[in-house]
Amino acid sequence: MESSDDIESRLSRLGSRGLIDTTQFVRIIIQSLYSLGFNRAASSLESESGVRLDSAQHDRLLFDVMSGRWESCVSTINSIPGIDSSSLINASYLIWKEHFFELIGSGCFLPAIEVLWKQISPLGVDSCRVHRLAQYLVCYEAMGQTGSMGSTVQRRISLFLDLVEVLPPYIRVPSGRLEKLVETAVLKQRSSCQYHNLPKDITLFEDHKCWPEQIPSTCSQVLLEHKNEVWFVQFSHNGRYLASSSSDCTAIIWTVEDDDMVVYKHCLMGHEKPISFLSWSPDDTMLITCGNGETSKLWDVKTSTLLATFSDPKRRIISSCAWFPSSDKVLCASSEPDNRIFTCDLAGNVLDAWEGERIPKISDLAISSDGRLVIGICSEKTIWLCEFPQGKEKVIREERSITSLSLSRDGQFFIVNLNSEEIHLRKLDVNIGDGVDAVFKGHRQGKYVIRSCFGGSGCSFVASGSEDSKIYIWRRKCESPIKVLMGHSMIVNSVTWNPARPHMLASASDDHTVRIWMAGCNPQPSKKLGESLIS
Amino acid sequence: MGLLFLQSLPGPKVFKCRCCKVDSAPHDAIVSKNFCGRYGPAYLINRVVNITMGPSEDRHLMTGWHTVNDIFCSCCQQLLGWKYEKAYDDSQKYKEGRFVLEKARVMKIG
Repeated sequence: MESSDDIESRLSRLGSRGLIDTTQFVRIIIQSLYSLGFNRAASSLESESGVRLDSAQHDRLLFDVMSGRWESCVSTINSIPGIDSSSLINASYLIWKEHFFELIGSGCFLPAIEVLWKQISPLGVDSCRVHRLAQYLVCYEAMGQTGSMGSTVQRRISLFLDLVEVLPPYIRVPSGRLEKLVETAVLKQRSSCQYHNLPKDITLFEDHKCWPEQIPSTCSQVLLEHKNEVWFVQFSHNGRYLASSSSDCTAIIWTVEDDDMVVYKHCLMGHEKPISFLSWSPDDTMLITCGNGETSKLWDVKTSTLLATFSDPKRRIISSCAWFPSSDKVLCASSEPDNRIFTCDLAGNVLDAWEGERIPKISDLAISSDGRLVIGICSEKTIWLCEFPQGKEKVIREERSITSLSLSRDGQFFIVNLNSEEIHLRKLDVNIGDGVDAVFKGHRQGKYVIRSCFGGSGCSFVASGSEDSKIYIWRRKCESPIKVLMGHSMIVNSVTWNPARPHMLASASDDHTVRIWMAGCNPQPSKKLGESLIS
Repeated sequence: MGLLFLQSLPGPKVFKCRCCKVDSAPHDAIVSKNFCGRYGPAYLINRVVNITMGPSEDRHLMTGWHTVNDIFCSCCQQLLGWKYEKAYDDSQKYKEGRFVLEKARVMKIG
């Protein structure tokens, strides 16, 4: 049997940089073996390595606490090397408090008073606690609250556990320590993984690394049905439909099949001007299309019939609209001749309106997914957040003009595209400060309205179109794009990421096409090897 | 072209492009009304919107050498004037960063 001298003659430090102390490492392994239930393996490891799981002071302290020898408890604690004075005071206080309660519980008041007077008060803890202890001397009933959970044995065990928390950690290895260290390393790898998009099982055998093909990278389909520039695309909330709108005054609804192919469903005709904006209802049964300088129309998705037209006698232009989460009301912003924000129901009747001098011209509008916050872009440079219906407001000024707005699916964040070729990410909260949470650069934008979106699993990516016919994808933490998709021949006006299938992205461009981009599949070499062995 | 992003100017008096009627400049951004453009009288103005800029050129103007960029209306691509990028004469330094807007190419509203 090797003695503990041998463990010191081996490497006393482990790891490539010598950071890990061997004794501590072995103690953690022993502790996790015990917690998994391998008691024989754990004790034979203890005897073979000569390293004991619990330090000598730990065993002595446990014995003293369980047998009620309080004086020797305190002297054991005092003998712990490297203990600092505040931990010493806290530990002594806990011990004497337990002694005090036990004395009161057994009715010996005079010794209890002596303990309070001679041992506890000189410690110098907070005097309110000492006074409360003195109250227990007088009032029996108050004891019931704190004191007597269970028998003496249980109380002493809980005292021991409290003590162990106050004392330095090497006295007793915290439970689950090895698991916690491994989990921290795995989480760190996952959060630093650049392309982490598709959920993958974590394996401990190799570092977690996702390949660039896991975000949409190759064009799988080019949809040619539009006859003119395509200005806007959006997937439905359940990811099963895609809607695209074009300057040929039509909107097309496509179905996303189970094998990820996108198939033409119907064409919504009826507008006389190019359609600049469309919005899915939260339950995905209806679609609103806004003509550019024209009225908005409400369509039923399944039958492609026109349900209603939102127009009014003054022939105002509706610039943008947003659905309420209940799918029965719509918030619209209109301008010219006067600025107006109004809610209307599905028949087009106006339910509520704000108008007047104070209302600014709103170019883009959105409602958070819980229906509480309204966010609008006013006068091109101001972001206006408002709690609905009446509540706190917050106005944020941007330096340059904002062209478009997009919310994340969890309703926590939003991004705005600026004319200065930047995308700003902010938190969706009325109480935030004015500072930007993140900035993304690299795409080109100057003259046109370019739209961007959140996407990927957990909304951890941001994608945007660009005037140089490329699509840029960023990770939320990083300013430069991690991927640039090329394929369109003219400017990419809008991109949308499928909320239900994080490997699918769609883009709309002036070259009359909508392109679908898919993530490539991972090679699986282990599976192929297995097959060849069998055959 | 995609959906053009057009800024609209508040305020009662604005200049609009004569061809396509989009807002070009606010009236209160005028610095001088007595400028000479290439095609006639012009304004010197602090701020213009809805324009695209051409490449930088060195040009010899009446007041000396300057580096200028031509500005075009972003909607109809009409030449509206130019922007002073850099002036090589100290007495002309005040023009840097400002725009010359030809009176014949814009109309005053309000």
